[in-house]
Amino acid sequence: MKNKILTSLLLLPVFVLAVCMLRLNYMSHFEKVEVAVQGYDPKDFFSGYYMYLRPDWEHTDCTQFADNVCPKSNFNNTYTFYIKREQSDKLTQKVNAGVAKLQFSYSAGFEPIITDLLIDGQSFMEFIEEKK
Amino acid sequence: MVTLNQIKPSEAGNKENYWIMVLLYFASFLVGLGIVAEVAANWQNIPDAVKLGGALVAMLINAGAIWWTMKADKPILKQVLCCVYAFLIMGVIGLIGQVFHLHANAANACFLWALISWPLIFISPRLLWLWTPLFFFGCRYMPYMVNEMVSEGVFGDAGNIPPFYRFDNAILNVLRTYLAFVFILAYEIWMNFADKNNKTIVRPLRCYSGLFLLGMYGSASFFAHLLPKIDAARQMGAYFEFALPIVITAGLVYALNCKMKRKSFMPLFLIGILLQNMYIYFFYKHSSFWSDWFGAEEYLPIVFCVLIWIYALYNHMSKLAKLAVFSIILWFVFTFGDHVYDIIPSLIVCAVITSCAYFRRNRKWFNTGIILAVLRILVYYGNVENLQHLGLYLIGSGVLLIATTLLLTKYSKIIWEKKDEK
Repeated sequence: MKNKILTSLLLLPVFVLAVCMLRLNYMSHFEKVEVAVQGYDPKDFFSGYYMYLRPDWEHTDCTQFADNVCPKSNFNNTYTFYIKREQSDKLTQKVNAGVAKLQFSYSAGFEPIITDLLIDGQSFMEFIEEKK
Repeated sequence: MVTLNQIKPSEAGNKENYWIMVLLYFASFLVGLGIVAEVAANWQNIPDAVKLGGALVAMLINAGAIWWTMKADKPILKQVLCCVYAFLIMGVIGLIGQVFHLHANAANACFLWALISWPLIFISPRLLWLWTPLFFFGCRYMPYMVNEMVSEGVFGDAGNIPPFYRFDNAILNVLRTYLAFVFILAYEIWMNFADKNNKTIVRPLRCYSGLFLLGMYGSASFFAHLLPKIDAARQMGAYFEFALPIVITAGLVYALNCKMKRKSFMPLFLIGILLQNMYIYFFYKHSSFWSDWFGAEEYLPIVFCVLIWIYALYNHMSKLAKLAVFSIILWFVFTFGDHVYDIIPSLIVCAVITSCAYFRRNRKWFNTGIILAVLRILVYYGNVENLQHLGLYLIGSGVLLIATTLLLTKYSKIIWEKKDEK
Protein backbone atom coordinates (compact mmCIF):
# COMPACT_ATOMS: atom_id res chain seq x y z
CA MET A 1 0.00 0.00 0.00
CA LYS A 2 2.77 2.39 1.02
CA ASN A 3 4.69 1.65 -2.18
CA LYS A 4 1.57 2.17 -4.28
CA ILE A 5 1.02 5.63 -2.80
CA LEU A 6 4.66 6.54 -3.31
CA THR A 7 4.64 5.28 -6.89
CA SER A 8 1.57 7.31 -7.74
CA LEU A 9 3.12 10.36 -6.07
CA LEU A 10 6.14 9.92 -8.34
CA LEU A 11 3.92 10.86 -11.25
CA LEU A 12 2.75 14.09 -9.60
CA PRO A 13 5.51 16.24 -11.18
CA VAL A 14 4.88 14.65 -14.60
CA PHE A 15 1.15 15.35 -14.31
CA VAL A 16 1.51 18.94 -13.05
CA LEU A 17 4.12 19.88 -15.66
CA ALA A 18 2.14 18.20 -18.46
CA VAL A 19 -0.96 20.21 -17.47
CA CYS A 20 1.17 23.39 -17.46
CA MET A 21 2.49 22.55 -20.93
CA LEU A 22 -1.01 21.88 -22.32
CA ARG A 23 -2.45 25.05 -20.80
CA LEU A 24 0.37 27.21 -22.14
CA ASN A 25 0.15 25.52 -25.53
CA TYR A 26 -3.60 26.28 -25.62
CA MET A 27 -2.94 29.88 -24.65
CA SER A 28 -0.30 30.25 -27.37
CA HIS A 29 -2.84 29.61 -30.15
CA PHE A 30 -5.00 32.71 -29.70
CA GLU A 31 -5.11 35.61 -32.14
CA LYS A 32 -1.68 37.19 -32.69
CA VAL A 33 -0.88 40.79 -31.74
CA GLU A 34 2.41 42.68 -32.09
CA VAL A 35 3.82 44.98 -29.42
CA ALA A 36 6.92 47.17 -29.94
CA VAL A 37 9.69 46.57 -27.39
CA GLN A 38 13.01 47.84 -26.00
CA GLY A 39 15.47 45.83 -23.90
CA TYR A 40 18.74 44.09 -23.02
CA ASP A 41 19.99 40.51 -22.45
CA PRO A 42 20.92 38.84 -19.14
CA LYS A 43 20.90 35.12 -18.24
CA ASP A 44 18.58 32.84 -16.25
CA PHE A 45 20.00 30.01 -14.13
CA PHE A 46 17.51 27.42 -15.39
CA SER A 47 16.57 28.47 -18.90
CA GLY A 48 19.72 30.12 -20.26
CA TYR A 49 20.16 33.47 -22.02
CA TYR A 50 17.27 35.74 -22.77
CA MET A 51 16.45 39.28 -23.81
CA TYR A 52 14.72 41.37 -21.23
CA LEU A 53 12.10 43.35 -23.16
CA ARG A 54 9.83 46.18 -22.15
CA PRO A 55 6.64 46.92 -24.15
CA ASP A 56 6.86 50.28 -25.91
CA TRP A 57 3.21 51.32 -26.12
CA GLU A 58 3.96 54.62 -27.85
CA HIS A 59 5.15 52.73 -30.94
CA THR A 60 2.55 49.97 -30.82
CA ASP A 61 -0.32 49.83 -33.30
CA CYS A 62 -3.39 49.85 -31.05
CA THR A 63 -5.83 49.23 -33.93
CA GLN A 64 -5.12 45.50 -33.64
CA PHE A 65 -6.92 45.45 -30.27
CA ALA A 66 -10.64 45.75 -29.51
CA ASP A 67 -11.98 49.34 -29.60
CA ASN A 68 -8.58 50.44 -30.98
CA VAL A 69 -7.27 50.72 -27.41
CA CYS A 70 -4.02 49.09 -26.22
CA PRO A 71 -4.89 46.95 -23.14
CA LYS A 72 -1.71 47.92 -21.27
CA SER A 73 -2.93 46.57 -17.94
CA ASN A 74 -3.31 43.08 -19.43
CA PHE A 75 0.40 42.98 -20.26
CA ASN A 76 3.37 42.83 -17.87
CA ASN A 77 5.88 45.66 -17.56
CA THR A 78 8.68 43.39 -18.75
CA TYR A 79 9.00 40.17 -20.78
CA THR A 80 11.76 37.66 -21.37
CA PHE A 81 12.61 36.18 -24.75
CA TYR A 82 15.01 33.19 -24.70
CA ILE A 83 17.76 33.15 -27.31
CA LYS A 84 21.22 31.70 -27.85
CA ARG A 85 24.10 33.70 -26.42
CA GLU A 86 25.72 34.26 -29.83
CA GLN A 87 22.47 35.68 -31.25
CA SER A 88 22.01 38.27 -28.58
CA ASP A 89 24.39 40.94 -29.97
CA LYS A 90 22.68 41.08 -33.39
CA LEU A 91 19.22 41.11 -31.88
CA THR A 92 20.11 43.68 -29.22
CA GLN A 93 21.26 46.08 -31.95
CA LYS A 94 17.91 45.72 -33.71
CA VAL A 95 15.92 46.01 -30.48
CA ASN A 96 17.81 49.19 -29.58
CA ALA A 97 17.14 50.53 -33.09
CA GLY A 98 13.43 50.25 -32.33
CA VAL A 99 12.53 47.80 -35.09
CA ALA A 100 11.70 44.85 -32.83
CA LYS A 101 8.22 43.69 -31.90
CA LEU A 102 7.06 40.87 -29.70
CA GLN A 103 4.32 38.73 -31.16
CA PHE A 104 1.81 37.57 -28.56
CA SER A 105 -1.00 35.06 -28.61
CA TYR A 106 -3.68 37.21 -27.04
CA SER A 107 -7.24 36.81 -25.90
CA ALA A 108 -9.00 38.96 -23.32
CA GLY A 109 -9.16 37.24 -19.94
CA PHE A 110 -5.97 35.22 -20.50
CA GLU A 111 -2.34 36.10 -19.97
CA PRO A 112 -0.67 37.00 -23.31
CA ILE A 113 1.83 34.30 -24.37
CA ILE A 114 4.90 35.25 -26.45
CA THR A 115 5.03 33.37 -29.76
CA ASP A 116 7.82 35.16 -31.65
CA LEU A 117 10.19 38.11 -31.80
CA LEU A 118 9.76 40.06 -35.02
CA ILE A 119 12.64 42.07 -36.52
CA ASP A 120 11.49 44.40 -39.31
CA GLY A 121 8.36 42.29 -39.59
CA GLN A 122 10.12 38.93 -39.97
CA SER A 123 10.68 36.18 -37.40
CA PHE A 124 13.96 36.50 -35.50
CA MET A 125 14.97 33.01 -36.70
CA GLU A 126 14.68 34.12 -40.34
CA PHE A 127 16.56 37.30 -39.48
CA ILE A 128 19.40 35.30 -37.91
CA GLU A 129 19.51 32.91 -40.89
CA GLU A 130 19.78 35.86 -43.30
CA LYS A 131 22.63 37.39 -41.31
CA LYS A 132 24.73 34.17 -41.42
CA MET B 1 -0.65 7.71 5.90
CA VAL B 2 3.04 7.45 5.13
CA THR B 3 5.27 9.59 7.35
CA LEU B 4 8.96 10.40 7.21
CA ASN B 5 9.51 8.48 10.43
CA GLN B 6 8.03 5.36 8.86
CA ILE B 7 10.25 5.65 5.82
CA LYS B 8 13.51 5.91 7.68
CA PRO B 9 13.84 2.41 9.17
CA SER B 10 13.58 0.73 5.77
CA GLU B 11 16.35 2.96 4.47
CA ALA B 12 18.46 2.44 7.57
CA GLY B 13 17.94 -1.28 7.25
CA ASN B 14 20.02 -1.34 4.09
CA LYS B 15 23.61 -1.41 5.17
CA GLU B 16 24.87 1.25 2.84
CA ASN B 17 28.26 2.85 2.89
CA TYR B 18 27.78 6.44 3.96
CA TRP B 19 30.82 7.78 2.09
CA ILE B 20 29.83 6.02 -1.11
CA MET B 21 26.35 7.52 -0.84
CA VAL B 22 27.77 11.02 -0.51
CA LEU B 23 29.89 10.48 -3.62
CA LEU B 24 26.89 9.11 -5.52
CA TYR B 25 24.80 12.10 -4.55
CA PHE B 26 27.59 14.38 -5.73
CA ALA B 27 27.66 12.49 -9.05
CA SER B 28 23.86 12.70 -9.36
CA PHE B 29 24.12 16.41 -8.70
CA LEU B 30 26.60 16.75 -11.59
CA VAL B 31 24.32 14.80 -13.95
CA GLY B 32 21.28 16.81 -12.85
CA LEU B 33 23.04 20.14 -13.23
CA GLY B 34 24.25 18.98 -16.65
CA ILE B 35 20.62 18.36 -17.66
CA VAL B 36 19.67 21.87 -16.52
CA ALA B 37 22.65 23.30 -18.46
CA GLU B 38 21.67 21.41 -21.63
CA VAL B 39 18.12 22.79 -21.34
CA ALA B 40 19.48 26.28 -20.77
CA ALA B 41 21.71 25.94 -23.87
CA ASN B 42 18.51 26.57 -25.89
CA TRP B 43 18.36 24.06 -28.76
CA GLN B 44 16.44 26.19 -31.24
CA ASN B 45 16.75 23.67 -34.09
CA ILE B 46 14.62 21.11 -32.25
CA PRO B 47 10.85 21.75 -32.49
CA ASP B 48 9.19 22.80 -29.24
CA ALA B 49 6.77 19.87 -29.25
CA VAL B 50 9.69 17.40 -29.50
CA LYS B 51 11.54 19.14 -26.68
CA LEU B 52 8.50 19.17 -24.37
CA GLY B 53 7.40 15.65 -25.32
CA GLY B 54 10.95 14.36 -24.87
CA ALA B 55 11.12 16.00 -21.44
CA LEU B 56 7.91 14.28 -20.32
CA VAL B 57 9.10 10.92 -21.68
CA ALA B 58 12.43 11.34 -19.85
CA MET B 59 10.52 12.08 -16.63
CA LEU B 60 8.31 9.03 -17.10
CA ILE B 61 11.33 6.80 -17.76
CA ASN B 62 13.07 8.18 -14.67
CA ALA B 63 9.93 7.70 -12.53
CA GLY B 64 9.58 4.17 -13.91
CA ALA B 65 13.21 3.43 -13.07
CA ILE B 66 12.67 4.64 -9.49
CA TRP B 67 9.59 2.41 -9.24
CA TRP B 68 11.68 -0.52 -10.47
CA THR B 69 14.45 0.13 -7.92
CA MET B 70 11.81 0.24 -5.18
CA LYS B 71 10.41 -3.08 -6.32
CA ALA B 72 13.76 -4.73 -6.90
CA ASP B 73 15.07 -3.39 -3.57
CA LYS B 74 18.05 -1.48 -4.94
CA PRO B 75 18.39 1.30 -2.34
CA ILE B 76 21.57 2.92 -3.65
CA LEU B 77 20.38 3.19 -7.25
CA LYS B 78 16.96 4.37 -6.01
CA GLN B 79 18.50 7.33 -4.22
CA VAL B 80 20.71 8.21 -7.18
CA LEU B 81 17.72 8.12 -9.53
CA CYS B 82 15.61 10.20 -7.13
CA CYS B 83 18.31 12.86 -7.10
CA VAL B 84 18.55 12.86 -10.92
CA TYR B 85 14.72 12.98 -11.10
CA ALA B 86 14.67 16.02 -8.82
CA PHE B 87 17.06 17.85 -11.14
CA LEU B 88 15.19 16.63 -14.21
CA ILE B 89 11.98 18.22 -12.84
CA MET B 90 13.95 21.43 -12.39
CA GLY B 91 15.28 21.19 -15.94
CA VAL B 92 11.77 20.65 -17.35
CA ILE B 93 10.47 23.70 -15.46
CA GLY B 94 13.31 25.67 -17.06
CA LEU B 95 12.45 24.17 -20.46
CA ILE B 96 8.78 25.19 -20.16
CA GLY B 97 9.90 28.70 -19.25
CA GLN B 98 12.21 28.76 -22.25
CA VAL B 99 9.74 27.40 -24.81
CA PHE B 100 6.91 29.72 -23.76
CA HIS B 101 9.24 32.66 -22.99
CA LEU B 102 7.99 33.02 -19.43
CA HIS B 103 9.41 35.67 -17.16
CA ALA B 104 12.77 34.49 -15.78
CA ASN B 105 12.63 34.13 -12.03
CA ALA B 106 14.67 31.46 -10.27
CA ALA B 107 12.71 31.87 -7.01
CA ASN B 108 9.41 31.12 -8.76
CA ALA B 109 10.90 28.08 -10.46
CA CYS B 110 12.26 26.82 -7.12
CA PHE B 111 8.88 27.37 -5.47
CA LEU B 112 7.07 25.36 -8.15
CA TRP B 113 9.76 22.70 -7.96
CA ALA B 114 9.40 22.45 -4.16
CA LEU B 115 5.60 22.19 -4.51
CA ILE B 116 5.67 19.27 -6.94
CA SER B 117 8.79 17.36 -5.95
CA TRP B 118 8.07 16.83 -2.25
CA PRO B 119 6.93 13.19 -2.77
CA LEU B 120 10.53 12.32 -3.56
CA ILE B 121 11.49 13.12 0.04
CA PHE B 122 9.35 10.19 1.18
CA ILE B 123 11.25 7.86 -1.13
CA SER B 124 14.68 9.32 -0.47
CA PRO B 125 14.69 11.45 2.74
CA ARG B 126 18.23 12.67 2.01
CA LEU B 127 16.74 14.86 -0.71
CA LEU B 128 15.83 17.20 2.14
CA TRP B 129 19.38 18.50 1.67
CA LEU B 130 18.30 19.79 -1.73
CA TRP B 131 14.61 20.45 -1.09
CA THR B 132 15.02 22.61 2.02
CA PRO B 133 17.29 25.35 0.61
CA LEU B 134 15.34 25.53 -2.65
CA PHE B 135 12.10 25.78 -0.69
CA PHE B 136 13.60 28.62 1.36
CA PHE B 137 14.82 30.28 -1.82
CA GLY B 138 11.38 29.86 -3.39
CA CYS B 139 9.77 31.33 -0.30
CA ARG B 140 11.85 34.47 -0.88
CA TYR B 141 12.43 35.22 2.77
CA MET B 142 16.15 35.13 2.16
CA PRO B 143 18.24 38.22 2.73
CA TYR B 144 19.60 38.34 -0.81
CA MET B 145 16.10 38.10 -2.24
CA VAL B 146 15.03 41.29 -0.54
CA ASN B 147 16.20 43.38 -3.46
CA GLU B 148 13.88 41.48 -5.77
CA MET B 149 11.04 41.61 -3.26
CA VAL B 150 11.24 45.38 -3.30
CA SER B 151 11.35 45.58 -7.08
CA GLU B 152 8.36 43.26 -7.33
CA GLY B 153 6.43 45.26 -4.76
CA VAL B 154 6.08 42.64 -2.03
CA PHE B 155 6.24 45.40 0.54
CA GLY B 156 3.65 47.49 -1.22
CA ASP B 157 1.27 46.46 -3.96
CA ALA B 158 0.55 42.86 -4.91
CA GLY B 159 3.63 41.27 -6.43
CA ASN B 160 4.25 40.89 -10.14
CA ILE B 161 4.23 37.08 -10.32
CA PRO B 162 4.65 35.81 -13.86
CA PRO B 163 1.48 34.39 -15.45
CA PHE B 164 2.69 30.79 -15.35
CA TYR B 165 2.85 30.81 -11.56
CA ARG B 166 -0.04 33.16 -10.97
CA PHE B 167 -2.73 31.14 -9.21
CA ASP B 168 -3.90 34.03 -7.14
CA ASN B 169 -1.03 36.44 -7.05
CA ALA B 170 -1.73 38.47 -3.90
CA ILE B 171 -2.52 35.52 -1.63
CA LEU B 172 0.22 33.35 -3.06
CA ASN B 173 2.80 36.09 -2.75
CA VAL B 174 2.00 36.76 0.88
CA LEU B 175 1.88 33.03 1.62
CA ARG B 176 5.21 32.25 -0.01
CA THR B 177 6.88 35.25 1.59
CA TYR B 178 6.06 34.01 5.06
CA LEU B 179 6.30 30.26 4.42
CA ALA B 180 9.86 30.27 5.73
CA PHE B 181 8.50 31.21 9.15
CA VAL B 182 5.94 28.43 8.94
CA PHE B 183 8.88 26.15 8.20
CA ILE B 184 10.79 27.37 11.28
CA LEU B 185 7.70 26.75 13.41
CA ALA B 186 7.17 23.32 11.88
CA TYR B 187 10.82 22.50 12.56
CA GLU B 188 10.51 23.53 16.21
CA ILE B 189 7.29 21.52 16.63
CA TRP B 190 8.94 18.56 14.97
CA MET B 191 11.97 18.85 17.27
CA ASN B 192 9.60 18.77 20.25
CA PHE B 193 7.44 15.84 19.25
CA ALA B 194 9.16 13.69 16.63
CA ASP B 195 11.63 10.87 16.78
CA LYS B 196 14.94 12.57 17.55
CA ASN B 197 16.92 9.52 16.48
CA ASN B 198 15.90 9.98 12.88
CA LYS B 199 19.21 11.51 11.80
CA THR B 200 18.40 11.45 8.08
CA ILE B 201 15.79 14.10 8.64
CA VAL B 202 17.25 15.85 11.68
CA ARG B 203 20.60 16.66 10.05
CA PRO B 204 19.44 18.66 7.01
CA LEU B 205 16.67 20.40 8.95
CA ARG B 206 19.00 21.41 11.74
CA CYS B 207 21.79 22.41 9.39
CA TYR B 208 19.64 24.57 7.12
CA SER B 209 17.65 26.12 9.94
CA GLY B 210 20.94 27.21 11.47
CA LEU B 211 22.34 28.37 8.14
CA PHE B 212 19.14 30.20 7.31
CA LEU B 213 19.31 32.08 10.56
CA LEU B 214 23.02 32.74 10.25
CA GLY B 215 22.47 33.89 6.70
CA MET B 216 19.84 36.35 7.82
CA TYR B 217 22.00 37.37 10.71
CA GLY B 218 25.09 37.76 8.61
CA SER B 219 23.49 39.68 5.82
CA ALA B 220 23.47 43.32 6.58
CA SER B 221 22.29 44.17 3.12
CA PHE B 222 18.57 44.28 3.89
CA PHE B 223 18.12 47.95 4.52
CA ALA B 224 21.27 48.96 2.67
CA HIS B 225 19.49 47.75 -0.49
CA LEU B 226 16.00 48.64 0.56
CA LEU B 227 16.32 52.19 1.75
CA PRO B 228 17.52 53.92 -1.41
CA LYS B 229 14.71 52.35 -3.42
CA ILE B 230 11.66 53.35 -1.47
CA ASP B 231 10.44 56.67 -0.20
CA ALA B 232 10.65 57.68 3.45
CA ALA B 233 6.95 57.13 4.11
CA ARG B 234 7.22 53.45 3.11
CA GLN B 235 10.48 52.81 4.96
CA MET B 236 8.93 52.34 8.40
CA GLY B 237 6.06 50.35 6.90
CA ALA B 238 8.51 48.07 5.15
CA TYR B 239 10.45 47.64 8.37
CA PHE B 240 7.35 46.60 10.31
CA GLU B 241 6.36 44.22 7.53
CA PHE B 242 9.81 42.70 7.85
CA ALA B 243 9.77 42.70 11.66
CA LEU B 244 6.26 41.43 12.38
CA PRO B 245 6.64 37.78 11.24
CA ILE B 246 10.00 37.60 13.01
CA VAL B 247 8.51 38.79 16.31
CA ILE B 248 5.46 36.51 15.99
CA THR B 249 7.59 33.47 15.09
CA ALA B 250 10.05 34.18 17.93
CA GLY B 251 7.14 34.52 20.40
CA LEU B 252 5.44 31.32 19.26
CA VAL B 253 8.68 29.32 19.34
CA TYR B 254 9.51 30.68 22.80
CA ALA B 255 6.03 29.83 24.11
CA LEU B 256 6.16 26.33 22.60
CA ASN B 257 9.58 25.59 24.06
CA CYS B 258 8.59 26.96 27.48
CA LYS B 259 5.60 24.63 27.51
CA MET B 260 7.67 21.65 26.41
CA LYS B 261 10.59 22.61 28.69
CA ARG B 262 13.00 22.58 25.79
CA LYS B 263 15.86 25.01 25.12
CA SER B 264 16.26 26.51 21.67
CA PHE B 265 18.41 29.33 20.35
CA MET B 266 15.82 30.15 17.67
CA PRO B 267 13.91 32.99 19.47
CA LEU B 268 17.15 34.72 20.45
CA PHE B 269 18.43 34.51 16.91
CA LEU B 270 15.24 35.87 15.43
CA ILE B 271 15.25 38.84 17.78
CA GLY B 272 18.96 39.28 17.03
CA ILE B 273 18.18 39.59 13.32
CA LEU B 274 15.67 42.27 14.14
CA LEU B 275 18.09 44.22 16.32
CA GLN B 276 20.81 43.97 13.72
CA ASN B 277 18.58 45.35 10.99
CA MET B 278 17.18 48.02 13.27
CA TYR B 279 20.75 49.16 13.89
CA ILE B 280 21.46 49.22 10.16
CA TYR B 281 18.20 51.04 9.51
CA PHE B 282 19.00 53.90 11.88
CA PHE B 283 22.67 53.91 10.92
CA TYR B 284 21.78 54.22 7.26
CA LYS B 285 19.11 56.81 7.88
CA HIS B 286 21.48 59.16 9.65
CA SER B 287 24.74 58.61 7.82
CA SER B 288 26.12 58.50 4.31
CA PHE B 289 28.58 55.82 5.45
CA TRP B 290 27.07 52.98 3.39
CA SER B 291 26.93 54.84 0.13
CA ASP B 292 30.46 56.27 0.59
CA TRP B 293 32.14 53.04 1.56
CA PHE B 294 31.48 50.86 -1.48
CA GLY B 295 31.46 47.14 -0.77
CA ALA B 296 31.22 47.48 2.99
CA GLU B 297 28.16 45.28 3.13
CA GLU B 298 30.12 42.37 1.63
CA TYR B 299 32.46 42.37 4.63
CA LEU B 300 29.76 42.71 7.26
CA PRO B 301 28.67 39.05 7.07
CA ILE B 302 32.17 37.81 7.87
CA VAL B 303 32.42 40.30 10.75
CA PHE B 304 29.11 39.06 12.17
CA CYS B 305 30.12 35.42 11.73
CA VAL B 306 33.42 35.99 13.55
CA LEU B 307 31.57 37.81 16.34
CA ILE B 308 29.10 34.92 16.64
CA TRP B 309 32.00 32.47 16.72
CA ILE B 310 33.77 34.40 19.52
CA TYR B 311 30.47 34.67 21.41
CA ALA B 312 29.86 30.93 21.04
CA LEU B 313 33.38 30.05 22.19
CA TYR B 314 33.07 32.39 25.19
CA ASN B 315 29.76 30.81 26.18
CA HIS B 316 30.90 27.22 25.47
CA MET B 317 28.22 26.77 22.78
CA SER B 318 30.02 24.19 20.65
CA LYS B 319 27.28 23.69 18.05
CA LEU B 320 26.88 27.40 17.44
CA ALA B 321 30.66 27.75 17.19
CA LYS B 322 30.81 25.01 14.54
CA LEU B 323 27.99 26.64 12.61
CA ALA B 324 29.82 29.97 12.72
CA VAL B 325 33.06 28.37 11.48
CA PHE B 326 31.09 26.75 8.68
CA SER B 327 29.65 30.13 7.72
CA ILE B 328 33.10 31.70 7.74
CA ILE B 329 34.34 28.97 5.37
CA LEU B 330 31.29 29.56 3.19
CA TRP B 331 32.17 33.22 2.94
CA PHE B 332 35.71 32.39 1.79
CA VAL B 333 34.42 29.93 -0.79
CA PHE B 334 32.01 32.42 -2.32
CA THR B 335 34.20 35.49 -2.40
CA PHE B 336 36.51 34.08 -5.07
CA GLY B 337 35.88 35.30 -8.64
CA ASP B 338 33.73 33.67 -11.32
CA HIS B 339 36.41 32.69 -13.86
CA VAL B 340 36.98 28.97 -14.49
CA TYR B 341 40.46 29.25 -12.89
CA ASP B 342 39.01 30.93 -9.82
CA ILE B 343 37.08 27.76 -9.05
CA ILE B 344 40.34 25.87 -8.47
CA PRO B 345 41.41 27.47 -5.13
CA SER B 346 37.88 26.98 -3.79
CA LEU B 347 37.87 23.33 -4.79
CA ILE B 348 41.37 22.87 -3.30
CA VAL B 349 40.02 24.23 0.02
CA CYS B 350 37.10 21.76 -0.26
CA ALA B 351 39.47 18.90 -1.14
CA VAL B 352 41.69 19.68 1.86
CA ILE B 353 38.65 19.76 4.19
CA THR B 354 37.33 16.49 2.72
CA SER B 355 40.71 14.72 2.83
CA CYS B 356 41.41 15.79 6.43
CA ALA B 357 37.92 14.65 7.41
CA TYR B 358 38.48 11.32 5.65
CA PHE B 359 41.72 10.59 7.47
CA ARG B 360 40.27 11.67 10.82
CA ARG B 361 37.07 9.75 10.02
CA ASN B 362 34.96 12.85 10.63
CA ARG B 363 31.76 12.44 8.65
CA LYS B 364 30.45 15.93 9.33
CA TRP B 365 33.46 17.69 7.83
CA PHE B 366 33.69 15.18 4.97
CA ASN B 367 30.08 16.06 4.16
CA THR B 368 30.84 19.75 4.57
CA GLY B 369 33.71 19.58 2.07
CA ILE B 370 31.56 17.84 -0.54
CA ILE B 371 28.61 20.22 -0.08
CA LEU B 372 30.91 23.25 -0.32
CA ALA B 373 32.33 21.89 -3.59
CA VAL B 374 28.77 21.44 -4.88
CA LEU B 375 27.86 25.00 -3.94
CA ARG B 376 31.04 26.39 -5.52
CA ILE B 377 30.32 24.57 -8.79
CA LEU B 378 26.77 25.95 -8.67
CA VAL B 379 28.11 29.48 -8.28
CA TYR B 380 30.49 28.93 -11.20
CA TYR B 381 27.68 27.47 -13.31
CA GLY B 382 25.65 30.58 -12.70
CA ASN B 383 28.29 32.61 -14.53
CA VAL B 384 29.46 30.27 -17.30
CA GLU B 385 29.00 31.27 -20.95
CA ASN B 386 28.98 28.04 -23.01
CA LEU B 387 26.16 26.08 -21.41
CA GLN B 388 26.06 23.39 -24.11
CA HIS B 389 29.64 22.20 -23.51
CA LEU B 390 29.37 22.62 -19.76
CA GLY B 391 26.18 20.53 -19.68
CA LEU B 392 27.82 17.67 -21.60
CA TYR B 393 30.89 17.89 -19.37
CA LEU B 394 28.78 17.75 -16.19
CA ILE B 395 26.62 14.85 -17.38
CA GLY B 396 29.70 12.92 -18.59
CA SER B 397 31.66 13.42 -15.39
CA GLY B 398 28.60 12.63 -13.27
CA VAL B 399 27.87 9.37 -15.09
CA LEU B 400 31.56 8.42 -14.88
CA LEU B 401 31.56 9.11 -11.15
CA ILE B 402 28.36 7.08 -10.65
CA ALA B 403 29.80 4.14 -12.60
CA THR B 404 33.11 4.31 -10.71
CA THR B 405 31.39 4.59 -7.35
CA LEU B 406 29.00 1.73 -8.06
CA LEU B 407 31.97 -0.42 -9.06
CA LEU B 408 33.71 0.73 -5.91
CA THR B 409 30.80 -0.41 -3.77
CA LYS B 410 31.55 -3.96 -4.88
CA TYR B 411 35.11 -3.72 -3.61
CA SER B 412 34.76 -1.02 -0.95
CA LYS B 413 34.24 -3.46 1.89
CA ILE B 414 37.82 -4.60 1.56
CA ILE B 415 39.13 -1.01 1.53
CA TRP B 416 37.11 0.21 4.52
CA GLU B 417 37.60 -2.95 6.55
CA LYS B 418 41.35 -2.56 6.13
CA LYS B 419 41.14 1.06 7.22
CA ASP B 420 39.09 0.10 10.28
CA GLU B 421 41.65 -2.54 11.20
CA LYS B 422 44.36 0.14 11.20
